[in-house]
Amino acid sequence: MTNDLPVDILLVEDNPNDAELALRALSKHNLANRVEWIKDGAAALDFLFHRGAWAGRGNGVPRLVLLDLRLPKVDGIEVLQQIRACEATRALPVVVLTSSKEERDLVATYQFGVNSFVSKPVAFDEFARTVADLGLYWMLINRVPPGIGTPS
Amino acid sequence: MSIKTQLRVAAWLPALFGLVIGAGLWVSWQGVDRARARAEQAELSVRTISELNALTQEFLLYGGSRVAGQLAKQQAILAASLAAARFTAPEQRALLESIRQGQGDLGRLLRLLLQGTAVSRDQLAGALLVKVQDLRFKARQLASREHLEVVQIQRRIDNLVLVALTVLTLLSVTLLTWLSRRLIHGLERLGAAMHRVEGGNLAYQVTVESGDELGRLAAAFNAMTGRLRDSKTLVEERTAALSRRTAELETANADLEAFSYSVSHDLRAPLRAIDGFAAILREDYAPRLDAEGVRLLGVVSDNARRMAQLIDDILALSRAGRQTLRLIELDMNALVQEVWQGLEPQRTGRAVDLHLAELPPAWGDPGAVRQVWQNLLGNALKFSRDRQPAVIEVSGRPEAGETVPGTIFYRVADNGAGFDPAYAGKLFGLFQRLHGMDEFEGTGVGLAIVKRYIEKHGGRVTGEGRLGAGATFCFSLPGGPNDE
Repeated sequence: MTNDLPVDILLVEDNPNDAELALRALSKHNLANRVEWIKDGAAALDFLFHRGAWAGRGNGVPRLVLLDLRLPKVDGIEVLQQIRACEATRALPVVVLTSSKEERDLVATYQFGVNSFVSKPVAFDEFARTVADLGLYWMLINRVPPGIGTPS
Repeated sequence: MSIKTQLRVAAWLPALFGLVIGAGLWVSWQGVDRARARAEQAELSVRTISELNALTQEFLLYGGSRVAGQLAKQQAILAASLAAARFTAPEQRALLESIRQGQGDLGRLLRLLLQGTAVSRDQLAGALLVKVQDLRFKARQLASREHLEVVQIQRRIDNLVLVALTVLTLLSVTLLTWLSRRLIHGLERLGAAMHRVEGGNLAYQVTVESGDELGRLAAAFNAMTGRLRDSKTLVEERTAALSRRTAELETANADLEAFSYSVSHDLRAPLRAIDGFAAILREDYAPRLDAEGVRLLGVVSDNARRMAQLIDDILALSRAGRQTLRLIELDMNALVQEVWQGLEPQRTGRAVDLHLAELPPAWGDPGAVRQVWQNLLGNALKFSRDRQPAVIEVSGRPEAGETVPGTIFYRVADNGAGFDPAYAGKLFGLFQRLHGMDEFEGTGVGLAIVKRYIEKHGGRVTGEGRLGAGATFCFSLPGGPNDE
């Protein structure tokens, strides 16, 4: 993926296996073409805010962020907070996709304005279906306000 | 000396003093009486001598035996009274002695006069009269001396009483003042000490100044504060130990929480990878796998999913142990309906008769009690899946004869596989299963969670059944809030 192509889905996931399974599920529905996979919270923020390795990136804001909670450097909740704190990304749809079933994570992410909270099922068929449903819903069914998912 | 003795002394000393004064007065009054008696005796002598004087003159003028007889008689009376007289003071004794001599002389002169043998009757008469006058004078002197003595004794008594009263008053006042000062001083010291101890200074000690009651009181007070100090130290030690234990428990709890959080996150990911990549293998490499290869991949997937279920159940059990209950009144009918609807996936395509009686409300934590119903109803569905139809009965009743709020009993019965009553004791044990893995799936955690939640509510749970004849589970919950 080059810096010039617009990105539809930002997948923030530190576990390469989970990322591979998610990408496979998305690609089955032709949703994986414009997915950027980033392995830690700090890099995710750099990508979103056009900093560091992504300084000068010209492809605007993605249409969806799939965010894990346990991430190296900056954890998922912190990433969510910073997304909501910034004017350009405030309305960006963020879906937490995590192994956690803990109530406190659920409560915290909703407090910081998450759009959806999805537990990753262990069974692969369920997991694949869940990821595919998410991609289909947010890419094809859901509508976003202007400024989101369009090149700046 | 003890305060009791001192108070006794203070009471008895004036009494003793009074007794001594009384004795002194009695002795003095005796003296007065005796002096009076002596004065009267002297007066009697004076009267007798006057009588003798008159009779002598009568005899000198007229003579005659009648007068002579009376003279002799009066002379005898005077002699008797003088012989009986007793005087103590030397002056009076000397006077008495000279009066006795004078009386002897008078007697001789009178005998001479009465015999009529005197040389000169006139000379004799003159001497006689002089003697009588002299005697009368001396007797009067004696009487007046004794009167004087009476007055002196009385004055002495007055002085004695005055001095005694003064001394007695001074003595009483001094004794009582000293005693009350000591008492008040001691009591004030004790009072101040009590005030300090009451104010929290348990280390304060009263100095024991004497061996009397106040000293003993001070010693007892010190012993009491000592005991107080000891028990305070004990309480402090126990409180410290308790807060140490609480801190340890809190740390352990935090560790456990961190552990279960980590389990929840990190243990699932590899399982997902195992299941996921096994699935990919099945999908992408199916043409190159034979039937046994596909079966083996299925075994890998099944085990990954069983482990995932086990992790979920263990986490639920751990939550059941740590969770603080939030007790409210529960509408059991609504709760059971809700749980039953949630179990829809487990009963699709099955014939299941649910006999749901009207359930009385209970007092419990909604999440916990929901989990209890979910596990019990889930079990009932699971173990009755071979029945056509499966019959599940749910009922509840307040404990008979119990006062409000009392205890509410609930019952879930099924007509499923049941269990061998010989193993009923293992029913609620963790990871205990009474059926083979190939018969009924499960982790052996569900009923352990039920037991833990029910016991946290202060209730009890029992299960009975027979192999092939269904199982019945009963549990109890409080009907209302505790008074605690």
